[in-house]
Parts: sequence; structure tokens; C-alpha cells
Amino acid sequence: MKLAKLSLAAIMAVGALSTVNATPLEDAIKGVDLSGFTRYRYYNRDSVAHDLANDNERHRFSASATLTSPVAENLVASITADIDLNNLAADGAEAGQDLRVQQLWFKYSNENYSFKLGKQALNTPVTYNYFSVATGNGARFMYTGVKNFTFAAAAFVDSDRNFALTAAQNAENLYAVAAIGSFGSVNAQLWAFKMTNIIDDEEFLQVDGKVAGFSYKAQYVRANLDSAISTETQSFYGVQLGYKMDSFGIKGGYTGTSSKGGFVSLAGGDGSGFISGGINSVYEISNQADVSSLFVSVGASFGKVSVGAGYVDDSYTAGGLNVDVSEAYAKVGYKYSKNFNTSVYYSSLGQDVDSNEFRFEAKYSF
Amino acid sequence: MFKIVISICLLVSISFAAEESTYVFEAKGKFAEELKTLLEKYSKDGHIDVKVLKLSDSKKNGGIMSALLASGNDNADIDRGQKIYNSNCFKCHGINAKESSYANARVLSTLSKEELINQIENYKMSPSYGGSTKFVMNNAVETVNSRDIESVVEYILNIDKKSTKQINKSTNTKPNTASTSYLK
Repeated sequence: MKLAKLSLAAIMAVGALSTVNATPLEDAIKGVDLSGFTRYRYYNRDSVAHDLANDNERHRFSASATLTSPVAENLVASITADIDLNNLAADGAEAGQDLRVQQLWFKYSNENYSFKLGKQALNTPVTYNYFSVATGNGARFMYTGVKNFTFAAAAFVDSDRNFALTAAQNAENLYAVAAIGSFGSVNAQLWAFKMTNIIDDEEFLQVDGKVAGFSYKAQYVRANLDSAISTETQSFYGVQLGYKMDSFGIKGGYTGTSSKGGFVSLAGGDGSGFISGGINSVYEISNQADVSSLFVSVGASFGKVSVGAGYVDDSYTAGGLNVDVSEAYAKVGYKYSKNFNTSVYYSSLGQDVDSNEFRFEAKYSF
Repeated sequence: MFKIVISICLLVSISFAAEESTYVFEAKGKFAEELKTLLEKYSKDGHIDVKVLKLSDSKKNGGIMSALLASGNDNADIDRGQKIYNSNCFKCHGINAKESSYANARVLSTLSKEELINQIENYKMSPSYGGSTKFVMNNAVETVNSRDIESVVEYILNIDKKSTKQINKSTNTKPNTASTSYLK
């Protein structure tokens, strides 16, 4: 057994790692914070029809690390690097995102406002916010000087988007303003967006709240696209109700889009702030016209184990034809420790071609 | 076998004129428990002046750099926590952490230490985490480091005492946290 081990601080305290004119390492990294995760996922599908990697079996390796450091009073710098690779079992080929600088930004903040400059997460309800978050180069200003309210304005050039609405896949500029507030027991948020060559204007409205274990959320979104894409007004609406008691929870809801068009999401599926149900069915109906989606799910946790199950019944119109989609799924999670979690799910997607998917995940956070 | 990891920082204050030496050790497991007990006994007897710090879960989870650099004076600091709380939190959560400006936000004073740390870390690490207030919360905590989180959580847990000035500002003389005990 080790009797004692000198910490890095003690080593540096004696000046072992400093030079005469250089900044001592201890000073250089004082306050620097490192956080992130590493994650492994194994996917197995009995149909390749709906698999993004077009393979029945694949292994996915993902990692992200963020360094955050104060650089001056009220000023912080942050850099995030990530990697996301898929190893396709069929031929051993690799695909995905190589190691890159995902974000690099500076943020000034005081009690009433903050200003963030650099490559950063778009972080809006209509963009992709999961791992490999949608990013843009730009600035975001937030004002919190009014009690119960937050106001935001942002402008990004070369912002990511996760859809193929047009043949051109060049990144576009995204502009956004938002007002988020609370009125008694009701929260409300209103966002407005514009994306060059894609969206002339889009508005996202949400109200939500909780009452004695019950929760509710309602959304309405409308968008006018660039005339080269569509002259029809796109719209989305959804409601969701939930109830949670101790470790048990249930929720259900309904979403729909206009028969003239439902293009409102820049995420192209899951990972944004839209009301949705299911695991894989959301990718089938996202941005489609004439969507009707009904979903319900239940979940419970017992110590380190959590279980959940759900069912989704969808329909939409594509190419003048009606398409029905249903999904049933079950999932189990095990929280091995505070830092390490594992989970599995099985999803059965019923469509023109049925697709059943099994996924295992192990994730370590630091 | 004990799973806890204890970092023991011995601040051996040898008061020869103005010169003072500080030594930092780290120990784990059962040996650490025994050493901690021994040091506490000696400290109470007045033989030596020591500070014993337990490396908390948040440091193991939140920030390697911060944990590596953690010395006695840099750990959870309630005064610093108060400053962070007043700057980032109090407008929505109230001066005593018993309010909630947003309808579905939880009242901080009802949460445990683990819940508070988990919530802040999750909001910090993922813009997709949380309910309708995730955009507001991510903005509020995305620049705090693990030591800041520890400090603000300690402040929240002791906010009533702090407001009535029952918390001794000198962390060297008053044990006041669950994860960090101070002996003198």
C-alpha cells in the first residue's frame, strides 16, 4: 500500500516544473476544469433500411473533452474536442467524425448579462443539441436583468444543420432571438429564427408547467421557407402530459404538422426541443407533412436500475402517399457508479420494411 | 474494503519566526481511515495543526485539473459559493434558495448535496439536459468549474446558517461540510 503520494500541487509548489521567465504550470492551469465523457455503443439491426450507417451491425466510439479556464475577471475561455467513429462490422470500414475542435469560445458574464463569442453550440430548440451538437461561429448575447425573464440574441455564420432539404449542403448563417419567462405557474418561451437561403422566418412558442406531480407542455411552431424551397407555410403543434410520483413516471402526447408542410426542425430528427415520442420513429416523421403522432411511455427506477417502455403510432404523407409507422420499445439502464452508466434498449419499428434494433451503451463521464 | 478515497492534506504549521512549511499527502482506503483517525486525535490534543480533506465525488467526477491542484485552501469555499450564487443563481432561486422563478424548476433548498451537484454538472455538460429551463440553466453554469460547483453547493446547503451569520468564515476552525472536514 502506498503510504503517501505527492499531489501535482505539491510537486509544483517546490518549483520543479517552473522556469525563470515562463509562467509556472500551476499558475497556468489554476482553475482549469476538464470534463467530458467516453462512450461505446453497439448496434444490431435486422434491416439496414433505416440505419444511417447502412449496416446491420456497428460499433460506435465517441468521446468529448472540454477544458474551461478563467482568463480574467468575469471572462472564461473554453475549448471542446470530440471524436465520433463508427466501425462497421460487415467490412471493418470506419465512418464518422475524426478528432476535431468542436467548440472554442470566450464568455464574458456579470450579474445581468453575458456575451459569448466564438465557435459554440447553437443551443436552440430547433437545432441539434445532443452529442456532436450543432455549432456555429458567432456571438450570443443574453440578458437576465429582469426577474423571471431571460432574453437572448444570437448570430452564427457557417452553422451546422442536420438535414438534406436542399441539394446544397453548405452551412448557412443562423440568426435567433428569444424571450423566456415565467408567469405564475406557467413558463413560456418564444423564439424567432432566420437562416439564409433556408428559412425566411420561423417562430417557436412553448408553454409548460407543473402542478402537483402533473406536468404539461404545449408547442406551436411555424416557418416560412425560402421561396426556392417552398411557398407554403410550414407548421408543427404538439401537446404532452406527464405524471411523476417518486420513482415512477408516465407521459403521453400528440404531435402534428400541417398538410402543406412540416419543415420546422433544423435537427432533422431527435435531439432538439420538439415534443416527440419513441426512439427511432422520430427520424421517420421529422419535418414531414401531415404528421399525426400519438405516443405514450412509462418509466421507473429502483436504486441503480431504471426501466422504461413506450409505444408510438405515427402517420404522415410523402409523395402523395400516406405512410404509417409504429414503434414499440423497452429499455433498461444500470447506474454502475456516479461516473459509469450502462443501458440497453430494443426497438421494433413497423413500417413498409420492419426494422428491429438492439443497442447497448456504456458511458463513462469525468 | 473501503471504496472511499480520502486525500489528507497535512498543514503542518511550524511557526519558526515567519517561516512556514506545508506538506500535502494523499492516501486511500483503510490506511487513510486509520491515518485520519490518528490525525484527528493528535489535532484534538493540540499537538499539531492539521487540515483533513476528503476528496469528494464531484472532484473525482468534475474536474481532473481542479482535483489535482486541490490544496487545503482551494476546496469548497462557502464565501466563494455565496458570490457565485448571488451572481448566477439568486435571481431565479431566491436569496435563500427557497424560491423558483420558473414554474417547473425545483426548489434548491429541498435537494440533497448529490442532487445539486448532479444537476449542475448535467446542465453544464449538455445543452440537451433538462426541461424547459435548460437553455437558461446551461447559460448559468457552463463556465463554473468543479470547485465552483462544490462551493456553491456548500453555500446552498448552509444558506440558512450563512444568512444568520452562524457560519464561521474561517474554514480552518469550523467543520461545516459533509465532504470536507476541517480540524485544528
